[in-house]
Amino acid sequence: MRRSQNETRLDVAGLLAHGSLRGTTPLYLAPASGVIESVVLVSQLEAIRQVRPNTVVVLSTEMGSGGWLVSAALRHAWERRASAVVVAGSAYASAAVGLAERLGITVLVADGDPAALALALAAEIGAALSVVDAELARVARTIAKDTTLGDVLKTISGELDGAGVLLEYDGVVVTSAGMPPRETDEVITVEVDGANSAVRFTLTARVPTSGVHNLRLVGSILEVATPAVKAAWLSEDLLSTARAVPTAAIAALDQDPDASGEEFEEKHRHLLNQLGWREGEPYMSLWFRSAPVQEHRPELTAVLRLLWRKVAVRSPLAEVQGGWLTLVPAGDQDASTQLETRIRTRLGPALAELGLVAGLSRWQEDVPALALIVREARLAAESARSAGPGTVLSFASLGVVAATTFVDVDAVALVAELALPRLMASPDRDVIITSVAAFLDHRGSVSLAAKSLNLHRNTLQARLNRARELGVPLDVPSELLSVHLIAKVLRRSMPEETTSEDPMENQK
Amino acid sequence: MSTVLTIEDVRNLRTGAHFLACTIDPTAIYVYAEMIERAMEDRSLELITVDELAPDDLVVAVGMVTQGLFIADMPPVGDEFLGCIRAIEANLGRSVRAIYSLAAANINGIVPLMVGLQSSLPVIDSDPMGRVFPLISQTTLNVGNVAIGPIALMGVTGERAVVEVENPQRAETLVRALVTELGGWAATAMYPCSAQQLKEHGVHGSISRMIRIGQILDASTPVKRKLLLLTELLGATRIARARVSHIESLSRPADLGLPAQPSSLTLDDETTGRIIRLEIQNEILLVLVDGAITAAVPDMVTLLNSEHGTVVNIDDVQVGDVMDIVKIKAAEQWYTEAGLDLTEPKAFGIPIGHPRRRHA
Repeated sequence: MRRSQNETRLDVAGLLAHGSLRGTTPLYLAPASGVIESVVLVSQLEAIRQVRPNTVVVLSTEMGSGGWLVSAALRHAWERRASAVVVAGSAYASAAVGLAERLGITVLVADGDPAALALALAAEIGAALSVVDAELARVARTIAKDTTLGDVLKTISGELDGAGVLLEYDGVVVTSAGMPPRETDEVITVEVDGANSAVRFTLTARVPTSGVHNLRLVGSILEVATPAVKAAWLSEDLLSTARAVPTAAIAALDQDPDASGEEFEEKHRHLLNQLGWREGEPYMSLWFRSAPVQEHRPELTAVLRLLWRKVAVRSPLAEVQGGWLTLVPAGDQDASTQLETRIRTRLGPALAELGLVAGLSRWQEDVPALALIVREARLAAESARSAGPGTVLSFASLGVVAATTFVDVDAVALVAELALPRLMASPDRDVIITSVAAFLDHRGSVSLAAKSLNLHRNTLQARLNRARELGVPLDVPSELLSVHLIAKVLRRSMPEETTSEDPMENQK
Repeated sequence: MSTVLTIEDVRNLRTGAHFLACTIDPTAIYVYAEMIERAMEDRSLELITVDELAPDDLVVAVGMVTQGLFIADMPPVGDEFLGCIRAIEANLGRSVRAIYSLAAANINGIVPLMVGLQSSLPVIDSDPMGRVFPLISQTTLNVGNVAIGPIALMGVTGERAVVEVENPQRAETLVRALVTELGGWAATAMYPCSAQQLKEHGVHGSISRMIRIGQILDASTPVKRKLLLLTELLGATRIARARVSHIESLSRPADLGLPAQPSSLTLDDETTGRIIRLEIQNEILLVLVDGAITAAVPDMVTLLNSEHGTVVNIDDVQVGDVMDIVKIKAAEQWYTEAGLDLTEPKAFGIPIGHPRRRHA
């Protein structure tokens, strides 16, 4: 591409050496490169005010070439960032050289008719543009041969001398190729029009500022590549959907929550074998879902699949009821730890931006039934929702605490209001509840609880007595679980003052 | 309120008339000032405002029209203007009650004083240009649709013509042709009108302003102070203090309708590096600073010696001279659409509009 860019890029120096400006005499040559993109033949000074940057302004003969005229033309041309001003040959023009030098704008004297020169230059610019068109057609043909999104982006990047090329969805880089981005890069972006009207995909090229790239040409290349990007994406998505069928089937088949893992395997053994699942092979299950309740976004599946490839290329991602599911082979504990780390580092930020959370099943030596690890991942994902978008939660770190996720918080709070009215009305309510929670967290040990709260033992004891006075049944063993639950729920709605070892609190 | 002018006033007027038209050889102004001073020894000269006249009083503009010949090269006999006024009176069948200057600068700024002394007519402190323009059609009276004719002309040989004409452009052509035939210059009386018309369409305070300018410039105060006082009096601004780097004559194609040849000056502002270009034809028509229009007719532009604060003659400028380029706003009438039509650079063969047009 570099070779052809040099061919399509016209500049003053080049055209003076062997182009249509050869017949002119430079009165002053600006040190800057002087890129030429268009030419204008003007017969009125005011017309220069409308020229585009990188234009050669040719003053027609009828306009004259008085010193004042050249001066004013130089000024206008400079204001419009023109490439050069061409004037008819005359003794007057030389007076303006000082001004040209001051403004840093090239002045050329046409030996013949300036109009003829403008025509020749226009032809040359036209020829260069047709080279650009031919080049774009070649790029389009090359890219059309690629079948995967990765290859398409790699080819685009190659055409741009290895420049970084990114496909983004809603600001999240879905996939990329070429050099990593730098702050000084020029960013050229085109929109990739989705099949539905909600356009969120953009194709971006980041080219070094110092490079030889013609930015308009870069934009054109991206536009030409857009259909190939869409096609590759759609075909990949179709393929992924097909590959994800066995995964989707597990979620679909596991409809009976009462059935144990063995029962599930027993019942669907034949079908699971048909789908390619082999008994005794260890897997980890990963469940993605929206953190808040969101309307269904069909394109999200495709986006998530592209992102998922950053973690595990071979495990297909299936869109299932209530989220997305994938099963990843994990031979040992280390593999499972690595997987979890990879998910957090490579997907965490993107999940946060997309408003998603992820739940991961435990790794177990004795290879539990697929349905069980899927259930674990789903529960972990469900628990992760309360901690906000971007959370990746492993069932291993959750255990039975997951149960509290499914407690109806509002109902518990209502119970507290009705059953413990004196506690709820007390001004020192928050302090008492914190104390009770800490006391129960430490299995009724006043010493440990006081230490965890940074309090003296006697202080805590006094607060617990106060709780008893307010009607909290701390001394009735059968009611302790309920008290503990109420204390937990009420603490969630408190301002965060005290630290806690509560895993549920840690999720926040 | 009428004022009797003193010899000191005449000297100041001379300087002021030169300041407002710095580009022209001032010899004739000095010749006339001297004649006026002598004549004042036994007569007094009255300067009146247009309000002091009855609205119907006939007033007429007097002024020299030249075509290539300096007046100092062939001085007038002396009776030329009186002959013109008589011709106007005969043509209109009425007596002229007062005279006014055709222009408020250069020789025509001072001529009416001599004519006033000769004719015993009072001189009105008004004029139809508020400055000097090369063409007799470039007047605020023309903008106000006051008739230019009948025009009386009298040359050095005593030949006299009265041109009855309505169209000011046509009057220009006829008068230019006659002046050439009359010997290169002619005394003229034109724009005969009522005091009321002059009051409505003229520029007022022109003579007293020139006297005040002379007072400022001829005083022995530092240049800086003079510039300050001029700024206050005229709303003048200094465009630059710059050194002449290049002089060009015949810098533009000459327009046949315009007297005098075009020339240009290029100056360098040594403190800022700006390049200033002056386009001249009789007077400074256009000032470009780094190619951008900074002043254009009808703005007045004058040059002052940076060291002495004296007015610089364009004819005497040499490469290396340092001068202050001063811009003065012209009379408000000139910045109207009709005013700009008559006097913006396009009227002088420079195909650009006045910058004020864009903001209109």
